[in-house]
Amino acid sequence: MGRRTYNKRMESENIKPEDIKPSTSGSVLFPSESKFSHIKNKQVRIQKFQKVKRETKKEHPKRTPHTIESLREKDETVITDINSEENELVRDDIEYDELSSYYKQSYEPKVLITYSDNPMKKTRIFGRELTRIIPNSVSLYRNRSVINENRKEPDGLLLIHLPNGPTAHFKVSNVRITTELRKSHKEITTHRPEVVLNNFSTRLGLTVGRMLGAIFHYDPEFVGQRAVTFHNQRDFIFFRHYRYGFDSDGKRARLKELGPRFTLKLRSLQKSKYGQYEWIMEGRRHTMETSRRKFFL
Amino acid sequence: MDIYNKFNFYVGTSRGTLLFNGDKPNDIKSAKTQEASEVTALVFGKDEQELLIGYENGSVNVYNTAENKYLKTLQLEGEGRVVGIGCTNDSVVIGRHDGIINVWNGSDYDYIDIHLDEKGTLDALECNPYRQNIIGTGGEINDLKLWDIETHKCVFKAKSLGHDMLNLPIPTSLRGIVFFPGDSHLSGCATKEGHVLLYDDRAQRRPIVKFFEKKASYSAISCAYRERQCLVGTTRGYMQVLDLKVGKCLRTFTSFTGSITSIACDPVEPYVVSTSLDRHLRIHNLETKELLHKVYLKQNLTKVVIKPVVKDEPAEEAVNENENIDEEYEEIFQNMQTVVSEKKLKKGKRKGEDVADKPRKSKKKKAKES
Repeated sequence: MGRRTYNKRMESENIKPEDIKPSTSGSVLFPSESKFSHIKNKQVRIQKFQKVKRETKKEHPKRTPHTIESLREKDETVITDINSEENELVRDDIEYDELSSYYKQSYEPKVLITYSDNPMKKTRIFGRELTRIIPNSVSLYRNRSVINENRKEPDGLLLIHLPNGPTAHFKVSNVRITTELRKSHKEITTHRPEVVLNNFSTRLGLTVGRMLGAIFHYDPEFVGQRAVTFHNQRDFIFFRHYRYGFDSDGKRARLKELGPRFTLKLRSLQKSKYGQYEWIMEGRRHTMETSRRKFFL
Repeated sequence: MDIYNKFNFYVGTSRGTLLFNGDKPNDIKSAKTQEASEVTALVFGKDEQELLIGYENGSVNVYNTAENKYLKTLQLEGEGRVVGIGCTNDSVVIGRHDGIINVWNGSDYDYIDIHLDEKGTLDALECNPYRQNIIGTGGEINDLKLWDIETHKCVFKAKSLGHDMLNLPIPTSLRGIVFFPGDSHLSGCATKEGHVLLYDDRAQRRPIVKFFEKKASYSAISCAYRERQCLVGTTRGYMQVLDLKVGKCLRTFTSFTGSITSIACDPVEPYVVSTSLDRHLRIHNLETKELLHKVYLKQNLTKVVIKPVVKDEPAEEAVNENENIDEEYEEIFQNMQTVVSEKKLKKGKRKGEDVADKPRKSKKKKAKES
């Protein structure tokens, strides 16, 4: 049927069938057909199919899936390599900032933890737990800041670097104190912990990371096998407290979570001079949070 | 971007580096100093190529913009950071935080001690470019004062704002002073507490116009070169255009994420250059609020000055145009004056004869008769 109509059209256009030649460009596409479906033995069929599948996988390695982090909007302040030539000004900046004296190890950090007026029970315990984590720290109540509280739970944390350092204001959420994790504070030793700061990539993140690092002692005691992590993911800083141990081979590490866990989110960063803000979110979230793939830390 | 061809900007950072733009867009050059101290004052000298840079540690450097070199360091009296530098006809005025004003006229040093209170400080010093030898000073517990440099005397001293409803004194801590091109007797200042005050030293010692925003804390003030408008920047990171004729906010710029430290406005074209602690330099359109350009400069920025790039040919044209306009205006004014004055005189004479004189005579007559 089809052939007949084809011939008819050719006749109408006065083209002889001898003029038509097979095309020379490109390969002919056959309908897709599984190669092994004709094999009756199921085991052999599956084996052959798997073999071909493995080979194709090798040719096309699995691509990494897109995540919000990998599609993050480009930020010009991201520091990839601090020692590169273009970051010379950033190095100068860091070398002389308020936290530089800590990183030159000229003093041991002393930390005072205080509360808003009349803190509730959970807030008091939270502060007490922080003293166990941060070496050389004291927790004192105000005499009838600074952990703030709301609805009987700690919700704000001010990190103030004295005497003239920057002040960071964090929102605290998801606080789980040790007892809520069904752990005992007796497992926490008094060794100075190691500090891990993860994923602080921009210039602002660098300052915040340095501030968080500067409340711990610069010389950890590795005997204690304690580690404190501040992991930044999508501008939320996750705090975890672990004890680690190595296998008998000494190759793999096992982690055991100890202390409290909480999440921090930066609200503002202030320079000491006249309370000038270096970074502030309040009042401009519509203009700053333009995309969910945009991050500041 | 064509904005780059219109002016050069020079930016001082919190680590004492001077940054400026090159010929190409996004080409930022830097000039470092030995001392890593915050730039707290940045002003063009008498010579266009001379840039005076004051630091937090109290020293002042002279920088040549043509040769891109630091020329010399000035020796100063007093303690604390440099709060402001002014240039008068033949001398440079440098204020220090403890209230000592140094005057350097090329070869000799001299200083004025403005006797402050115990808690008082000097935080702002500005030279009046429209009136010779007049500088304005102010700081914490130290209201606006105008000084004559030649006679070392205080010309004008502002009165405090008085007391509030609880009978407590209203504090004013000046953060910046500005003078207006239209009227050389006007001086404006911005305070930490959120006031913008306009003083007229001929009229009264209290401010003639007050603008108050409770939540704001001003950190920078600059002249907008449009009648009595000025630009102010806050520590919470927004910039406002204020009209000080009526004391009203006209526009607010909110594209900042950190405290504004310094503002510079182009005298002719509607461009505003501002620096912020968030390490960005921004160029806005003054009229439309549009963000024209934004550069990341890698350090906390503290001061900015701009210099319009003047190319020879357009400058001459501009001058010619101005002259033409002036002549036309003068002609128009002359014509108008003659016409108006004749009419008014005639009317006045007639009225005087017809209406005003007769009753008076009659009144006098009545008085005599009585």
